[in-house]
Amino acid sequence: MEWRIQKPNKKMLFCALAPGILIYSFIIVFPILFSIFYSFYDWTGGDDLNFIGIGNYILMLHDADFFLSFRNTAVITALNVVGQVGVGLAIAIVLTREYVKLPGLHRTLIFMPVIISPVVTGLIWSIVYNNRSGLLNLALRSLGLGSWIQLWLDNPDIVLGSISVAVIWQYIGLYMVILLGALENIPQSVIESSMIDGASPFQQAIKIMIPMIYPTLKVAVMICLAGTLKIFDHIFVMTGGGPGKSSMTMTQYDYNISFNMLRLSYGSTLSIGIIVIIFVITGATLKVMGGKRYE
Amino acid sequence: MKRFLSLGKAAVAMTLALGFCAVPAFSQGTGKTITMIHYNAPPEATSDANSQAFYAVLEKYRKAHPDVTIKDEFITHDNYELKLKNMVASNSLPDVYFSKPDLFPVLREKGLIAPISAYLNADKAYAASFKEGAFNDFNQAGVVWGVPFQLQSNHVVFYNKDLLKKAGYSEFPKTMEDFVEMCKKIKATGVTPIAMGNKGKWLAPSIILNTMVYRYTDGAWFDSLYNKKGAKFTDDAFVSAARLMKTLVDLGAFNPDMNSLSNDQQRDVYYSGTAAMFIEGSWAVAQVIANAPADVKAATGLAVLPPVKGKEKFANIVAGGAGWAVCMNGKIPEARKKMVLDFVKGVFGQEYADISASKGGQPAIKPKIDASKLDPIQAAYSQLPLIFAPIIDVQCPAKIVDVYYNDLQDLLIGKLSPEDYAKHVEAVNN
Repeated sequence: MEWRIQKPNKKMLFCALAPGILIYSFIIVFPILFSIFYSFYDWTGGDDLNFIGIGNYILMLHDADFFLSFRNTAVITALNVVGQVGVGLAIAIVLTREYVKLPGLHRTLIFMPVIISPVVTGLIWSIVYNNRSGLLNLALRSLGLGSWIQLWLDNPDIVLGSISVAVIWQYIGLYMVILLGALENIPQSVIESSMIDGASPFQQAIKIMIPMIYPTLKVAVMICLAGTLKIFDHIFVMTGGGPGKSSMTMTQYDYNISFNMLRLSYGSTLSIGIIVIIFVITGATLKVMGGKRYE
Repeated sequence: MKRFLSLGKAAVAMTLALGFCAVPAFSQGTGKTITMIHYNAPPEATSDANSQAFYAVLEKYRKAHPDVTIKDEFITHDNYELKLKNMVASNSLPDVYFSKPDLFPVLREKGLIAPISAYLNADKAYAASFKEGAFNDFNQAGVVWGVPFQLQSNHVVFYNKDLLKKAGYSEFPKTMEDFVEMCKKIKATGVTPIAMGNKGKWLAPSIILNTMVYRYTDGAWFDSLYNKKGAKFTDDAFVSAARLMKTLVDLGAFNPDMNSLSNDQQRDVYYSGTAAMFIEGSWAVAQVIANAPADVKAATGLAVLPPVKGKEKFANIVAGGAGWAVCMNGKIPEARKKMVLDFVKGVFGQEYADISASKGGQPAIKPKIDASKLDPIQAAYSQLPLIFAPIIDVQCPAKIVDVYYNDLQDLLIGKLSPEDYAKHVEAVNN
């Protein structure tokens, strides 16, 4: 019997696509459109709208706190891309080695934090970092490393690092699994022939494995970048942007402006600003990474 | 492309239709149903006097009025303001809600708050049952906009007499200079002078800094500032208060992890005997009575920050007052107004005051209870010769409060000088 793919008529096409488009529009497209709309107004909720043109955008460009929060976000993002994708890649490569016992168990355990809610992760790490009864300082003390004890979340100089460790811990498993999948698709024969040619394990990783999974790696960096640039939950729970403003990210700042100060229209402007920044950064990274082709 | 566009148009239409049909989950009640939001944690979860009184009276009210359905929603105190502001923005306020006066101007402008002056004038007995000055915070444009349920000091120093003795002090210092000196001596004994939990960012400014300001000036300064009659945050009084805070920070008077502990946790530090003092509002009286270990409780004394030399006339002024008001939605139709008002008066009335006072609270209505049955700590509180002045962050608009809170944390971690702090707050005030 011959199966023919029927070309769907317009009506069917519409019916099939409608639910998806509808939901997507409702939760993504329209909020963005509304935000753009409100960003041109002075609005604190309710019915009174007061058109002020690009006033909010001019304000944003002169807002030192917004730039500070951008700087903080950039630091956290840099740490996280290196920590999540970089270390995730290293773990994935090690897990492909034959000398690793119980690779399945390692994979499961490292992946586990991914399924925890970010809020819970934030709470867990607040307890780990607690100055008085926290696991970390307790461990350092019992190891005789008392001088390493820090106010992990109170010291403005290290708070971004402390938060990043918690976020990296949570998501490293995700990138490990993505990259492991790509590594397992490399034909065994390629690896074997490189071994015969005398390539060391390190050379294998750098010269063969990474180039061969480069497209996947690129995707992983993109996901990580976009995810970390809009980081919110962990920081909200762990420090609330503090101490002072030392761990305030763009989204946390936007939240404070919108909901603590009820400046909803300026908050909308900031969200548009954040979207533009994320677009520019991910776009630029894509350009840079895409320029170098290994395949 | 054309097809895509028409598809898009259809999606827009359907989404808009969906959006406008959406009904808020919790909003104004109808008929014999009264809706309310509040931050009173369930009685099994807290020893807070207001919560204890609220649930006890609410239960009685429900039994006495079987025909009225009361839907109340509890939101934790730290999240309450956010939820309230969201409800304001989305036009879904319930019939009855708590609000601080800083939000009144917005609520008034949107017609979401009902004036209650007329009702108070009509029921003289109810109005007279309140303590003097209970309505002061809620008076705007010559009209009262809310019913107070508490009248409390935003500042009480709880100190451990035993730990003070160890540092060589048999009584609480009489001057600020001596207080600072005492902090140094307590620190030298290996104990944290003042336990502070400023994670929520409000404690240091609202509980400590406000009253420090009133060591250099009085409530008239704030009135002048609030009504834009000359006073500024960059005035000497405010800068001196910020400097005093900085002095305490620099000498290590507070625990180094002050910005990652909550106000509940600061009490735990005090209870553990590793801190000689903690400073909190008078609501902590009930908490200490209920939760402090017996030895710490027995050693606990109450005071307020002592006066600065040469400024003795400002002694005993503390930031304090009613703080939160019980407000009624301005959009309640005439037909339901009396029922809702009766509910507010029924719940936040004499009985509420009596229960709250018996649990260590400071109700807005004069309680009718036997003073000799009070806990010693409650009795010590009632003997403090307090003079209330406006709570700066309760009165000022949200945009000032945000800087007042956040930038003080910068001062606490040494990133901002007292002078710059004052400048930053004044910048948003202008």
